[in-house]
Amino acid sequence: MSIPAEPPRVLLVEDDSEIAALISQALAERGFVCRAVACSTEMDEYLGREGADLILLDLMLPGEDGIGICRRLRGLSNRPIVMLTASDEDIDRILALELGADDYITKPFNPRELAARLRTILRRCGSADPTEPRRPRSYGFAGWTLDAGRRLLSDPDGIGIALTSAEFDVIFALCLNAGRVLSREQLLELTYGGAAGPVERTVDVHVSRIRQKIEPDPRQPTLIKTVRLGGYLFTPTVVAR
Amino acid sequence: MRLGLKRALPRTTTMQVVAVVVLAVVVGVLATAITLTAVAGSARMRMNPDVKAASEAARIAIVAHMVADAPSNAAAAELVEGAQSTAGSVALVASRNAPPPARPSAFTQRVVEHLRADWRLQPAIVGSDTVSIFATPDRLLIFQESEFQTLRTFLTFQASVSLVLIFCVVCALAFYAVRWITRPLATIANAAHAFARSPDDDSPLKDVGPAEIRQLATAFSTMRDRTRQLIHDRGQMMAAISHDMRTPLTRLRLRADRAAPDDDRAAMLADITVMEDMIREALTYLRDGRAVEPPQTIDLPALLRTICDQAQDLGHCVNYGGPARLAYCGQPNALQRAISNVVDNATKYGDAVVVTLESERDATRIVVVDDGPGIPAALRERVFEPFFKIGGARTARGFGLGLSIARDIVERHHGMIELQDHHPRGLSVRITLLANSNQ
Repeated sequence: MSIPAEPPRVLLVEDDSEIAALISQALAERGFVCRAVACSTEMDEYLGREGADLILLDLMLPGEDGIGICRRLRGLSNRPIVMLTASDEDIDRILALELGADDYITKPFNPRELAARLRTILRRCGSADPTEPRRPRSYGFAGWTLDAGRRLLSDPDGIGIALTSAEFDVIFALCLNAGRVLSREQLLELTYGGAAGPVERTVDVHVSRIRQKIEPDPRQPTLIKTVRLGGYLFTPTVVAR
Repeated sequence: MRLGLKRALPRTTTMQVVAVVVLAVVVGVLATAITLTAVAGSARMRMNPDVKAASEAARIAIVAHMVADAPSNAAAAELVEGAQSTAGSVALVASRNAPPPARPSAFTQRVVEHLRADWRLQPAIVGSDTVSIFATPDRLLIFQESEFQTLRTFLTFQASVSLVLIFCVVCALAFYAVRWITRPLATIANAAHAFARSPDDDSPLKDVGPAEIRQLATAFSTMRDRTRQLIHDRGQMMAAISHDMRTPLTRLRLRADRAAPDDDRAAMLADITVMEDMIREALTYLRDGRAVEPPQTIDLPALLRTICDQAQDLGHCVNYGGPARLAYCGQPNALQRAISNVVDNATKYGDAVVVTLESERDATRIVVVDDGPGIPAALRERVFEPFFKIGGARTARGFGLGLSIARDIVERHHGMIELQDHHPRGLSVRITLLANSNQ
């Protein structure tokens, strides 16, 4: 969960050279080291020589398209992959997430949000076991199921509970750190740094909203407990599947 | 009277053609019968009635003698059978079954006179067209004499038989022939329905039936192909909007983001957001016909709370009221879009918006209430039209598709959406969905 000492290296695979340049600059200004390549062959070449901490992948590419690359890369390593695309069709998003992308961003996007999300994903993946070949697709706790791939939460009866993107990230972060007290700052770091929405909301607001939806009695929370001196504790045992 | 007649007329082509043919046959047979009657009648007129009466009297006399001389009752019965002729019928009955006497017709009178004059036979009883003679003291021979009776027998018998036979044959043939015409029509109708259900089914229409029907089938196939092409082209346009328009917008946004923070930058970013929203709205509208989101059981209060929270995050005052948990099976993303659109509208015109959820036995109701100016009754249907904006506002955000998208989605869930006045002021949008039959 610690911030990496060196700036994170992002490899951007995008065939529109102007956009590639603009994204690289935007990320560089926010503390990343970003290299851009235009297609999958160049990407393979680059990854062979250098390395990258995260791959930012456009969906529409000449030759092998984003979906194919994602599937291939996921088989090779645990490196986080974020899809970038102009399509916001549900089917494309679900397919990408099912094939192993860690997140999905539609163009046009706010560069501040892009940077925050990349940082969050790097933090989240940083705490995972790098030798683990497959990151778990879903997590179970107290009968609930959190599908990390499709970003869905279902209750013990299988009923889907709608969550905003930020709320999902909060409960995901809590899941990954079950049994450990997370301070508000730590939770903020793990969830876009609050940069997801137009209005920054405190972690408290997100937790309170999540409690409304998942706690049997929101006024006496049992799943997400408030710890004195500022922090939250996710109490149930979490099983990764 | 006219209305009653209309309702009695047959509706289908089959029944109409059968009715016409049967009517033709019946009229034909009747016309034949009437013509024959007239012809035969006139022919009979030419015959001298007196000569006819004399020959009838002769016949009666001969038959009466033969029966009287018959050796046995059986023989007499046989003779009577043999004596039936086209001229008239003969019956042998017991005396107690004698017909009552009556005033004889002119022809019968002549026959009786000839019997007396030429044959010295006195009939026992004379009826209007019958002459009865004792065969034996207890048996009576009744002769039916009528000029027209024979023809009547012939016509009645022949006409009835032929009418029934022809009726059956014609019905069968007509049914078969008409089915040959109408079955291709039914096939075309089915193909039209199938096209609505699965537009990609390319099975060709069979080329059978009469020439006009084949023309219709060909025209339908052409139209189906053209419609499919239109749908395909629309899909292409969607891809174009999606990719080709969003790419330059991405560059714009990235560049605007790097500009010096000032009023221009804020204005540029705001306009870029407007354009993004419009593209998303248009794509949603274009895409909606092909919606393939699988239904899922979701918690409606969680969905409504999420929508309210997102609106609050944008600075609006939107709150949820209702049960803590309610399961519902539907398309989650579509429902979220529909209700978000309604809430969006509400926040545009009002300050405080409340979203409530009510669950009844067979319906689930979501009500979005705002305290804005409301919508006049005259415009309540029009606001659901695509691209319609109140006040003709070209300045308002978006294309004006929000409510029409919402209604499409609600109706896809077999529900309905209504606009009503809210008291003391504002608009109440009521979305009624059928309650599912699950827990």
